Amino acid sequence: MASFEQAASLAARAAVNSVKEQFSSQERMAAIQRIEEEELQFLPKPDTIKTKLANMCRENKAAALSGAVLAVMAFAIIFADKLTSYDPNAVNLMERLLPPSPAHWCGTDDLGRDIFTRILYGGRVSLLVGVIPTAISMVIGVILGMVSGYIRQLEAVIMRLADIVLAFPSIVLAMVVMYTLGATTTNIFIALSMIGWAKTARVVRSQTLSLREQEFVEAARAMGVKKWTIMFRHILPNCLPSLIVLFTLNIPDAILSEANLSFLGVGTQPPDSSWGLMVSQARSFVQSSPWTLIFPSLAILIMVLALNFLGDGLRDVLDPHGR
Amino acid sequence: MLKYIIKRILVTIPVLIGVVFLIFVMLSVVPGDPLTVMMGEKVKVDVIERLSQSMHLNDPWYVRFAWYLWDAIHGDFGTSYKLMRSVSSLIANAFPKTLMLAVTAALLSWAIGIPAGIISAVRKNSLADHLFMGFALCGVSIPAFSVGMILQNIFNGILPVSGFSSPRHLILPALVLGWNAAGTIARLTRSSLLEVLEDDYIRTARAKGLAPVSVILGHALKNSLLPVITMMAIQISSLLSGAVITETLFSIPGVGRLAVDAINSRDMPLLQGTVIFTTAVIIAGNLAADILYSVADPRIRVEGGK
Amino acid sequence: MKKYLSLLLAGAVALGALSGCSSAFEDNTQSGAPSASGESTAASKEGKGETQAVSQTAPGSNMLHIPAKDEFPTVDTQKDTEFYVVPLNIYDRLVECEVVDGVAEIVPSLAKSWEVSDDGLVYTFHLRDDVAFHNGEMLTADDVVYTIDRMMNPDTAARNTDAYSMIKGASARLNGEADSVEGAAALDEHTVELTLEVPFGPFLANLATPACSIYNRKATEEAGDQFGIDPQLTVGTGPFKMSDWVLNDKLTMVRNDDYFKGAPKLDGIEVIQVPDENTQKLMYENGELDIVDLSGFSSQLAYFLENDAYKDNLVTGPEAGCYFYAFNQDMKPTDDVRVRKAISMAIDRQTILDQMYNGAGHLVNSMLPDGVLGAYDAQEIPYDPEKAKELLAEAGYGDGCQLEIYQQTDNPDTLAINQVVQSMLNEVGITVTIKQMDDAAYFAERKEGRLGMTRASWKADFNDPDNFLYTFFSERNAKIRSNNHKNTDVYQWLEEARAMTDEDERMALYQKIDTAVVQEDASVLPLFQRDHIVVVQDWVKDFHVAWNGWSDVSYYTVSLEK
Repeated sequence: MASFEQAASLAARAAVNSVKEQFSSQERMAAIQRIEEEELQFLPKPDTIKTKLANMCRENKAAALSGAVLAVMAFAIIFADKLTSYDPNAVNLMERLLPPSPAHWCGTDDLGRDIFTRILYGGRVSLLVGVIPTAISMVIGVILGMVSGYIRQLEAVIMRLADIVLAFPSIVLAMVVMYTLGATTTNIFIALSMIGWAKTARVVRSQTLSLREQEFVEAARAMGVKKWTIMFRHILPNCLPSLIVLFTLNIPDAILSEANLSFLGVGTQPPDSSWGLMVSQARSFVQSSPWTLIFPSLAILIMVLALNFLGDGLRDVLDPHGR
Repeated sequence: MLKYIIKRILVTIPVLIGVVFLIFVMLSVVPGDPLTVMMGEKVKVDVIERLSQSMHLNDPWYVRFAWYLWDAIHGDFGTSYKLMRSVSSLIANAFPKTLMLAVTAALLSWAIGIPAGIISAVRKNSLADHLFMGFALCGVSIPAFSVGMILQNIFNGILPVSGFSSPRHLILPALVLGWNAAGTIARLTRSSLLEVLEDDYIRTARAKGLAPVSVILGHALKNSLLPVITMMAIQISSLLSGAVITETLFSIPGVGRLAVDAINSRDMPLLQGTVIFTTAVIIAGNLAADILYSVADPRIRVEGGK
Repeated sequence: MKKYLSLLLAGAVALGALSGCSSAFEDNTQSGAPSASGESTAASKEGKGETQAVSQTAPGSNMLHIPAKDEFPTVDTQKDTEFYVVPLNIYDRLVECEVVDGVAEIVPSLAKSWEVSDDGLVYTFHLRDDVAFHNGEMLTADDVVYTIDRMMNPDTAARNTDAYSMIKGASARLNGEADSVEGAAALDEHTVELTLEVPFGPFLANLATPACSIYNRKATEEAGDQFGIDPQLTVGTGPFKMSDWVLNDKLTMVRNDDYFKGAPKLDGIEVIQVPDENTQKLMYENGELDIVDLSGFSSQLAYFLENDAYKDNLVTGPEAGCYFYAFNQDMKPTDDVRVRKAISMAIDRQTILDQMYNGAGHLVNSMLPDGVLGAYDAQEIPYDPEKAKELLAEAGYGDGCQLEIYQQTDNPDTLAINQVVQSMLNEVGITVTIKQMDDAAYFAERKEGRLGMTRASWKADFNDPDNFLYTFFSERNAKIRSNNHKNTDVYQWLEEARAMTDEDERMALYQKIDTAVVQEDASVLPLFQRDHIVVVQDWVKDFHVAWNGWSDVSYYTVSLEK
């Protein structure tokens, strides 16, 4: 977890350095003018991102491959109903626990359901659980992080709140939230968002803290630009590279958290399935029918691994330090 | 520095109270009460009513919250509803086991993660880089229970798969946790070593003709390990907060299992006790990490330390 | 310089953690007390314990190792209603229920004989005079009176008060209106007289339940609230004595050489906490567990039943209990008897039994399963989806309806059956949602009568129809069991039956009640009675399944031949 923070603080330092290079004190007045002219200049320009991605694909084969794998998986999951003719929830007691065969590529589970089909459909839940709570938690985290970094009066309150969430054993917190709200997929989103925001808030706050001392921000302030405009126009764009990296790396976390919740019985509810639930339901059949465990585990492994490689690759290219 | 430490410790007090408060509020809206779940199939309404009265379960949550704080300030963390023993003694018995597991797992994760990170950094974007990082990242990329179940089935009969009565019982659960933590360590080692390798003095050392191996081990590694070391402090504290799932799978009587049992049986005193305890451990770990980092690298300003 | 300092600091932290750890581990092994854990640690430290199974390297290989899925709070049966494996082995009751010639009967135990007055109100028990408690005290009538009084003493905060609530003056004692239980008296040193408020047919059977274990006055008073928790202070008369208890790890019992029925053959019993069922199976396979009960564990049935290697390791017996679906009569659509009957006809029970439980058992059509007093041949509930559709149409659900099935989380057995039923009911147009709740929420909702359809099972506590029918369909229990059964005739008959003294009439009435509940009201759908299957190691001899099919049994007769 905290590695992101570390990484992000490295990135923050680097960002500060590069900003310093652009705005030495001699150039201050010119900078103010530039801010007036082109407020969004700190957004990495689209073409540079494109170039960087192209570089990444050339240099970091693993990241490029991961991107391709993810695209294929997303495609398969989205068009699941075109790829398989089985109903993911149709119970067939006559075909329980069949090993993999041409008819059932990944075998069947204890209720005779086709595991390949369930992996495709279960991927929808896993993917949603990966993306939605991460997105929500990042929006909350970015806002609270910027506010606490920029408006010092609110800093103590928000940061103490973040401390509570970060110090709380996260699986316990998620369980309590799930019990309070009831176990549904929507509530998984809520539970995971409630846990995830604090990490983002910390990262964004520390970046905001250094950015707010920068000349271009001071200049904007001196010119009477409103607080919120400064935050969203000047500070946020500078946090963007690390946020993209954070986003890619937080998705696997969310997917694994859902799996853990399912293992403890408060995650996805049957007959729906997620990969995590499939793995945890396989636990009674590991020995006699290992395919019930292996294929969903592989699905998680491949997706999370790909996301991690892609995230690392993105960090390498988007980090302004320019490694 | 001392002032900073004292300040940090003082700041943890509202955090702990906040944690206690959060649990009280949440558990008071969660359906279910400890007596009903404990009696389970043998439910008897009259018994539950009579005992709820004597256990003050019918009081509103804020009254119980006030009493709890009052007792906690006086060092009394109550008696577990479910296990009928004092919460302090339950945690005192469970913690050494969690500690033992956490430290073993941490050592293992360093043994896997640091070499993997070094090799990956030195051979950046090579096959070796991808292979070693891939191996380390696999540990983070697959649910712990999945790894645990696979290991149990592979090693059944060779290593104990359950319980905690000898050091050999530690091997499998520590492997599960250690592999999981190794990914983070490997990744951090790689990136910080890469950063140091770009620094001027390393370039100078290279230019002076020092062999790459001695450059890496002699100069770069020493400096690049700093963030890794602070990471380790954070990691140990998160391992100590209880590896709930690993403890369940391998039947280890640790703190994590106490916490999950406590939620499941709505055992407020036990849940409070375990959460306060683990929260304190995590805070202490983060504090240690921050101090280490600021001692190590004066360029990093300690938060709020000015 | 500072960097070196920090490295040093880090090293110090790591070392500190390590030394803390090693001492923690020593603490652990020390508190792990006598035999197995400490010794095996030492052995492996010296590099000797290289062979696989810990149980085999440990001294006292005549110890029996059994698993437990959940930790017990206390072994004081007055305060715990759920976990009886330890109480059944360390305490005795006045009478016991045992299988004699295939029939469960009440047999003497601490009481060598007893008389019942003609009106069924006064029970006189003659105690054995050769029974010693683990602390050396001899059993007297006063101990029995004390035990009863302790249960009803409000300060005890007992949970099993129902066990004695029919005794005269028991409620008054519980409410604090009296200082003793009026109906419990010691006539002389070895004679106890219990007087009931009103006649209670199942009284003797009730006294054979673990809740009615007899305690020693001196030891129990001295132990205070540590009774049932501190192994040294927990004293009974049973074949085993508690010797050590490491919470969430294992509980050890050792042989009581002075047991009044003769010393047991085992040296002792270790109850090992293994929450994960698959882990239990693995531990059985490598010899760390001697006995694994498969009753709560149907996913492994096929593995053991279909594998010839285990053919000789299976001990089977009947189970005096049944699985059933209960309907909530306060919730739509199951408030309509036609819907309840339709659901019953749409579920193919035989297929579920065959496919999910390897056919090990038989269908039942009443709530009085075989092996329980009063069991009878009830009319068969047919599997007839076409008739079910007709009934649904008649009830106004011709276009289908929604139904909620509730269950506890982390219960894969129930979940599997519910998913099968979900797809079966789908065939007749009923769309089923399975709602999972954690135990605490589940029981809390059930207590309020708010659970929809649930799959449940019940195994006899004591051998009497009252234990089945009163528990679910009496006025007092219909709501808290979430069936909200409305039949007031049944309420009344259930109370009447309790006070009847003529056994034949009583059983006839219970059969009438059962017919009304199951056949007419379709308040529940009895599914099947499963065989109780336990897998035991080759070296375990004389293990028998308990008469009622409980997983918690006495291991007094068991021996090991290694």
